[in-house]
Amino acid sequence: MVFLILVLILLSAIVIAGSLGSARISFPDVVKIIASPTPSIDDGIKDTSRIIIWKIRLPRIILTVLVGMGLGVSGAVFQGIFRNPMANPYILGVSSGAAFGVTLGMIMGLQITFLGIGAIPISAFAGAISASVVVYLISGGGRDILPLLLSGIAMGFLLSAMISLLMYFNRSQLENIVYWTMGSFNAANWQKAAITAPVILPGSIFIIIFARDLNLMVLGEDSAKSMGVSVKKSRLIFLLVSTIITASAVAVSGVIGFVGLIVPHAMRIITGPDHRTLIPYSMLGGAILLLIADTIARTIIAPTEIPVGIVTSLLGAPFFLFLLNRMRNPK
Amino acid sequence: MRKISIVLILLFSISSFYAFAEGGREVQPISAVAKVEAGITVIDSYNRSVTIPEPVLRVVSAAPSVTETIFALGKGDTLVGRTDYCDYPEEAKSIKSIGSLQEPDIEAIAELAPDIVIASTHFKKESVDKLTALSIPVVVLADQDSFEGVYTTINKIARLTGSEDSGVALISSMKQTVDSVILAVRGKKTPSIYYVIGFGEYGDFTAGGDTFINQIIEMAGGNNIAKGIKGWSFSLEKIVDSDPDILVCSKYWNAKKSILAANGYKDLRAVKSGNLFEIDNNMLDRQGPRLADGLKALAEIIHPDAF
Amino acid sequence: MIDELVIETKNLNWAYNGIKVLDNVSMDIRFGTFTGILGPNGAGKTTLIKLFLNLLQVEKNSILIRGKDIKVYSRKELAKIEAYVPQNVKIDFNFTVEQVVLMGRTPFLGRFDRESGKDIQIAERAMKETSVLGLKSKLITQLSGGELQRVIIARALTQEPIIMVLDEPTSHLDIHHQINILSILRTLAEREGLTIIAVLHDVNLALEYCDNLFLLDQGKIVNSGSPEKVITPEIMKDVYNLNVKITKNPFTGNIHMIHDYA
Repeated sequence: MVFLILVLILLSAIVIAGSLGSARISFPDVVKIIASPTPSIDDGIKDTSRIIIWKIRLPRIILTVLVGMGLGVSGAVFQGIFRNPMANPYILGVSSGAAFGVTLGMIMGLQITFLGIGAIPISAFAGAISASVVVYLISGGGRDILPLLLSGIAMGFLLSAMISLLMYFNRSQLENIVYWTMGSFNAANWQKAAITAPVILPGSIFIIIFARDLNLMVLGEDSAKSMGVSVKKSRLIFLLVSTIITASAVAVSGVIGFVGLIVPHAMRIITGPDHRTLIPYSMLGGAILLLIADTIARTIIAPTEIPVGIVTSLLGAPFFLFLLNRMRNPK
Repeated sequence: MRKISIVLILLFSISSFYAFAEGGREVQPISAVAKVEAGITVIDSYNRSVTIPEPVLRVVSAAPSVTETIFALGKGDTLVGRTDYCDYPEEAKSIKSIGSLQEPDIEAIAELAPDIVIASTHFKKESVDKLTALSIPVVVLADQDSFEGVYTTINKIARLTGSEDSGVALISSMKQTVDSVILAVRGKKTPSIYYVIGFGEYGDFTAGGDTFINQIIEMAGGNNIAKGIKGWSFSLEKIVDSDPDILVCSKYWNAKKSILAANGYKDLRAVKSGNLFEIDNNMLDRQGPRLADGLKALAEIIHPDAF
Repeated sequence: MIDELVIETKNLNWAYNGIKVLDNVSMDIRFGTFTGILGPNGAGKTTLIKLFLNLLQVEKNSILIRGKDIKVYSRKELAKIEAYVPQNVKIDFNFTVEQVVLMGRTPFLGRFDRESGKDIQIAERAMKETSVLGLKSKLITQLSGGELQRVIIARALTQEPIIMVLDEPTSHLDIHHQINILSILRTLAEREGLTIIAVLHDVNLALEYCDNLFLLDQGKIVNSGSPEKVITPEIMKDVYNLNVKITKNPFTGNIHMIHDYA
C-alpha cells in the first residue's frame, strides 16, 4: 500500500538525515553510533561524533518529524473543519499568539524553566493557547465556522500590531524575535522532543479516530447531524486537539509555514477526501517534508543555517503553482 | 472653469505650505574648502571633511567606544551627552543620555547645544543629515578591522577634543600592551578556542575568519575553530566536531551559567573540564582604550602560564 | 407499524430572534404515509422539518417521535430512525458516489468500526433503488443535479430509516426526474412502509403522490388532510392569491389543479 511506501520513505529520510550535517561523520559510523548508544572501547568512533549524533542530530531529527506530523495533521483538520483549501493550522491565532508570547517574554526577560524547557517555548505555548481561547470565546463558542474564521483574522491583525509596537520600542530584541518567527530547529534537544511527543502523537491518533465525523461534517452540518454526528462536540474536539498540537509545534520550533497548507493538498491527490486516510497520510507527508526541509536548511550552506521556515516557503511557492496548474488543466 | 480654479488653489496651497516648512530650516553647507577659518579638520568615515571651530567644549558621544576614549584622553568633562549603553567608566553614567546608538534622540542632542557629535558605525545616515540640518557638526568614525585602524580613530578623537598629547600617550600605552602580549605568547602552542557570541534559541554565533575579533584571538595566541567561515553564523555540530580546547564567553547575561546547561555545549570537553572562561566582551567589542586590555585578558585565558 | 403515530406535534411554537416562525402547529403523521408540506415562501416549512429532525431546538414534549419526546433521543438514536434529504446539496469535496452513500451507515457504526460487507450491501441496494448504482465510482462533483439528488436519497435510504424527511427534493430537476424520484419515494412508502415527509413546491406533484397534505401559511396550518380536502379554490385564492380550478388528471385519476395566469 502507498502508506507503507511513505513509512519507508520517512525511515530512509531519517537515516539519511542522520548522516548529513555540518560535521562530517561517515555513514557506517552513523549506523554504529545509533546501534550502540554506549561507547565500547576501541570501536574507532570519536566521542565528539557520538555527542553530535545523540545530543544534536538525533533529537533534532525526531523533533522535526514530530512537528512535521503535527502540522500535517492539524493542517488537514483545519481544511476540513473550515471546508476551505486555504486553511492552515495558524488561522485561529496560534502563530500570532505564540509570536506575541515570545516577544513579551523576551522583553520582560523571562527566565523560567519547566521540565528542562526554557522561557521561549513556554511563552510561545502560553501565547498560542491564550490567543486561541480568546478567538474561540469571542466567536461565540465555535457554534459557526465563519465567526471563528473572522475572529481568528481579527486576532491575527491585533497581535501583529502589538508585536510591531513592542518591537519598535525594543529595537535590541528585534533581530531575535524575527529570527524566532522564521522557524528553526536549531535549538532542538531531547527535552523538547520528550514534551511534544506525548502531545502530538496521541493527539494525532485521537484525531484519526474521529476522522470519520469530519467526512460527514464537510458535506454539511445539518447532513452530518442527521446522520448522528454531534457536530458541535466533534468540532470542539477537532479544534481543541489541533490547536494544542499546533501550539506545541510552534513552541519548540517557531512559526513554520506552508507545511500545514501544502501537505494535505498533496496527500489528497493520493487519498482523496476521506479523512480517515487523508489524516494519517498527512501525518507522514508532513514529517517527510519537514525533515527534508530542515536537512536542507542545516546543510546547504553549512555551517551557517537557514531558518527552516524560509526553506518551506521556498518549497511551497512552486508547489502552489503546480496545484494551480493542475486545477486549470484537469486531466 | 471652477474645477481648474480649485486645482490651482490646491496646488498653490500645497506648494506654499511646503515652502514655509522647508524655509524654516537653514541648510548649512559643510565644506572645509570654502571656509578658511581656523578649526580642526577631520575626515570621517563618510569621507566627509568636517571642520569644527575651536575650542571644542561640549561633546556628545554617540557610542560607548567614543565615550571611553574621551575619558581615557582626560576630556571626560567635555562630555555633555552619551548613549544609554555608555557605562564605562563609572563617571559616564552621570552624564545625560541621548538614547540608543541607532535611534538617538535628535532633539535631546540639539538641546545640549554641542560643539560636536562623535558617532560610530551604528549611527544612521538619517541622524547625520538631521543634525547637519540643525548646524550641528557630526563626525562618524566607523569600526575598524585592525589595531592600526583603532589608533587612527583614537587619534582623530584626540585631535577633535584638543588632546593630541594624551592621544599619543594612550596609543603608545596600548601598543606597549599589544607588543607585550604578542611577545609573551610567541612560539607557544596555540590551543583551539571557540568564542561564544550567541547560542541557544536564536542560533549559534561566533567570530568568523574575516572578523577583527578573529584577528585578536590569533594575536592572543589562540586558534579560532571558526576561522574557516566568513561572518558570524556557526553550527552546534561544527563546534562539537571541532572539539575546542577552550571556550570563551561574555561575563554578562548569565552566559556561563546558561552555556553550562545548554544542549551540546554542556558535553564539550572544554566545558566539562572547566575550560569555559568569561571575559568582559565590552573590552573587545568597543574599539576604544580597553581594546589592548581585552587582548591581554584573552591572552591570559589562553596562555595563563605566560603571564 | 401500520397506523402508528410516527410523528406528533401538539401546539408547536417556534420563534427566532423574537420573530414567530411557527404558530400553534399540530400535526399527526402516520406510519407508511407520504405526507406533503405545502405553502408559500417564508411560511415556515423548512423550519418545521428541521424541527422534526432535531436540527433546531424545540420545547419539551412539543414533538413526539414514535411516542417519545424528540429531546429524549440521542443524535445517533434519532439518526437510526430518521433520515434527511436537504435541499440544494452542494459538495466541493470529490468523494465518490459510493463513499457518500456509505456515510448513511454511520449511525450504525461504532467509533472503531469500519464499514462491513453488510453495510456495503445495504448501500448497493439503496443505490439500485434510486438507479445510481452505475455511478458508484464517479465523483459527486461530476454529477448532474438529478443524479446528485438521487445519490443523497440513496444515502438517506442506507440509514434504513423509518422516516425520511425531504426538503424540496425536486425543485431543480426536470420533469422526468421529478416524476422518477417521487415515484421511487411513493413505492418505498407503499412497499416498505417508509414514512415520507416532503416539502413540495409544486402543488400538482403533491396532489399526485401524497396521501396527506399540510398547507402552511405564515407559520400556521391553514388546512390539512387528504389532497382533495386541502387544495380547494377558496384556499388557493386565500393563501396564494391564485384563481384555480380542480379537475381530474385523465392519466392517473388523481385530482389536478389548473390555475389562471393573471
